Amino acid sequence: MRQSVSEAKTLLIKAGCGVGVPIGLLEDLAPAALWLQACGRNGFDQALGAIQSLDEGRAPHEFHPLSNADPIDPSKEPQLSSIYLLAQLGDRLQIGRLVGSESSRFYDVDYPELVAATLVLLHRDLELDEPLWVLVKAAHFLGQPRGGGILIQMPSVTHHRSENPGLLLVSGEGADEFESPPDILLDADTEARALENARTEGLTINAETVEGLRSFASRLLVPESEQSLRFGAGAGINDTD
Amino acid sequence: MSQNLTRSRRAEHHQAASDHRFDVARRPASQVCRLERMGAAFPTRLSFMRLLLRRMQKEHWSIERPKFALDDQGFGRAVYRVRTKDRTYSLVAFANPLAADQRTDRVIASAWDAAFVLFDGDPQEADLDRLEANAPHQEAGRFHATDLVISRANRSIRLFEYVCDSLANGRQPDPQRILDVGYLMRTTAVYGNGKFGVSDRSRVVRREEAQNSFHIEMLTVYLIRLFTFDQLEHIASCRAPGRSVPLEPALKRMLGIGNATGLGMAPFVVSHPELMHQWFAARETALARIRNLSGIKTPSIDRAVHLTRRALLHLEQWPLDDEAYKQRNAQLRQDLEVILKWLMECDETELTEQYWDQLVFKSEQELCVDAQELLVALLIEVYPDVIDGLDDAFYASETRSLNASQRVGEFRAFLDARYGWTDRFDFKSDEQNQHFWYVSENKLEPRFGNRQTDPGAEQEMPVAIARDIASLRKALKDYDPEETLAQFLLDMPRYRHLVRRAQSAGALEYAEIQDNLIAKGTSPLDILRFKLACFGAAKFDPKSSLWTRITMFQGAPLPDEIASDSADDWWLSTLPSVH
Repeated sequence: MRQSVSEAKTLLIKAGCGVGVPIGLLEDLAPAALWLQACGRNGFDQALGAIQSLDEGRAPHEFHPLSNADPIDPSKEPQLSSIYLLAQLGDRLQIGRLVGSESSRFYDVDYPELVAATLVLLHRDLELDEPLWVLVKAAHFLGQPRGGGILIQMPSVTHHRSENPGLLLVSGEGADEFESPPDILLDADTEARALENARTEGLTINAETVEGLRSFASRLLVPESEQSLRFGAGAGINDTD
Repeated sequence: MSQNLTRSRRAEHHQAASDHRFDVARRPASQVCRLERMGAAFPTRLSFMRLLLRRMQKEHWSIERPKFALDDQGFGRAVYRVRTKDRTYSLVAFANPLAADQRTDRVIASAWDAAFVLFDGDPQEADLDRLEANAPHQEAGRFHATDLVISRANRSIRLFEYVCDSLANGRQPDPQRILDVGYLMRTTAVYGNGKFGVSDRSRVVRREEAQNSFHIEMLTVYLIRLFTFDQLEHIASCRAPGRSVPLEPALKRMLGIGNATGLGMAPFVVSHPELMHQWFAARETALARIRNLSGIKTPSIDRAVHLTRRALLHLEQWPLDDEAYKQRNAQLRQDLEVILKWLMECDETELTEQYWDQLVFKSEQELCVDAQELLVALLIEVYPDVIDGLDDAFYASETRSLNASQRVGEFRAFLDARYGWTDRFDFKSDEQNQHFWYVSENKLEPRFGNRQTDPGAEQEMPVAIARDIASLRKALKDYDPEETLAQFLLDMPRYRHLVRRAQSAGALEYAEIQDNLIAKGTSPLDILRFKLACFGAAKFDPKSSLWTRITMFQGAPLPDEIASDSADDWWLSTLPSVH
């Protein structure tokens, strides 16, 4: 169903607040979800899924202890919340501690594309000199240096790192990840067209997703007291004004 | 004592001024961004309704009525087409029968006398059919990106039928009754910027005529006003063909559009600090320019005298039920008489200096806040040219980025400098925490709860900026100043939105209301009045501290008057013939 961008953003933030996510983290989630949605990659389905993960306890409300970046056994660990991780990694990108000589790998991230989108968008805003690769199972995101365009590419089907559906790999180099020239899923031209369309026409989001978000957002609603209903704003209006 | 204080404040004022290119600086946020003063705001020449009509005049906009298909009782559809410099907008109106038991002003009502859509372009019949199926349902309908604004309105039972009956019987209505109500219809909501699926503001924000905030909403209301006149006269003429008369233009002009405004507007002011800064800054810049004028000429004094007299008449014609507001306006009238005396008695020596600065200063010493703010609005009216370049300043980028690499110590120093005012409040006391803001399940609108007696404080809306920034400052105090905010926010993610807000908007002079919005005694009405005055609304008629009735476009020129030289002269409009 068609949604305006502002309506969708507000709904997403309220839904996240409804499950107890700090609002500041949702302010980081929203641009990624909106951008993915505008670019045809179901950002809102993923955002709803990430909120549900937290609500159902599949992912904990906590940041990942990045000091221990060694691969871990995904079968023994809870999922990493993409909502927490995207803010955490975004901050690390800003302070220059995300992309070093070695790649950063994360396993079992619940919705890794949300993190990938956050990082390439932030990378573009920061106009960093080095490129940024963020590899997830369904797509490879490339942020080009110095505020250049963003590319999303189809990953190589034989790529061994894609076996874990929740894998997220952040790297300063990614060209050698492909065995053949990749299919381009998004480039600067298609992104510009997608964003212009969102600006003037709004977004199309699955009705079930909107309903799911509304359900979480409704947790913020408070029944009014009798006192408020009788004497609060709007009470006692003379309807025959 | 008073003179010493005056001298000391003047010295302070000039000290502040030295930081700017003007001799006299803009009033500081510590004075301006306070609830008491916001709650005394008056419409000015920079109010959005005025800006819109001046643009219509300057760019020779035309208004046509390509469709007016109403039956004898005034039910049906109509289209008003506005041709601007570069494009066309259309107000689509649907008037429907409304059962008496469905007539309510509540925002959650589900049926109205009329529903409206501002359409981007010329609607085709298919568009009209689609809108007819959705617009009357308002929130329950769904809209396309071509639908810029939706609104609905109910007839004033006190006035609509009376005026209609008068016209049908070939006579004009009693002007006093026109003034007592001030509108034929009142809107209960005007929704734009993506609400309920209408177009995002981003669709129009690059258009010159729509760049300023709320401009297309104001256009919608102005066109609704035209519809009310046309519908009224149509019904009257159908009732008594050949006998009915049209409403006299002077009376028509004094009919605006009513509105009942509640708490929905208050969180908007808090959540748009960049925009608030722009609104405040434009007015304060205009005032500063005037205060720096010297060698004041007699015609300017004469104009100020004329406007002061008009303001006195406006106060007489301002219907009010609220006792506290009646008392405030009584004091305001007394103080306006004082201003009138000052103006009448000023001598040539005074005029050679910065007379308006002296006058503003004197008002701050001797008059009530209402009078001080009325004087500000009045002075801006005297000098139309001072707002050059300010007309198009009523929008702001609200993209907020967070700088996680900033050191805690540096950020703390910034907060101390920009948010030191939060030290005024002791948030350990119950009084400073008495209220909380929440969204009502019953009405889906913001409400102002009492923490001691109302449930739901755990779902509090993030409106208590003073309390929350004070808490952030305290948390930062215990943190290593050399650490990055990234680390701080890992430990305390609940402060993330506040850090982003402060980094983005905190440096803007007028971005924050420098009061505690959850304290005992807080009147949300003060916030509402400020915003409504920015729109250009007048005759605030509070029904409690939580909501007010207002009138929009009362006194505004009719479409065929917009081209005249005096079209813009409707600040604090009056109907002289009544007195």
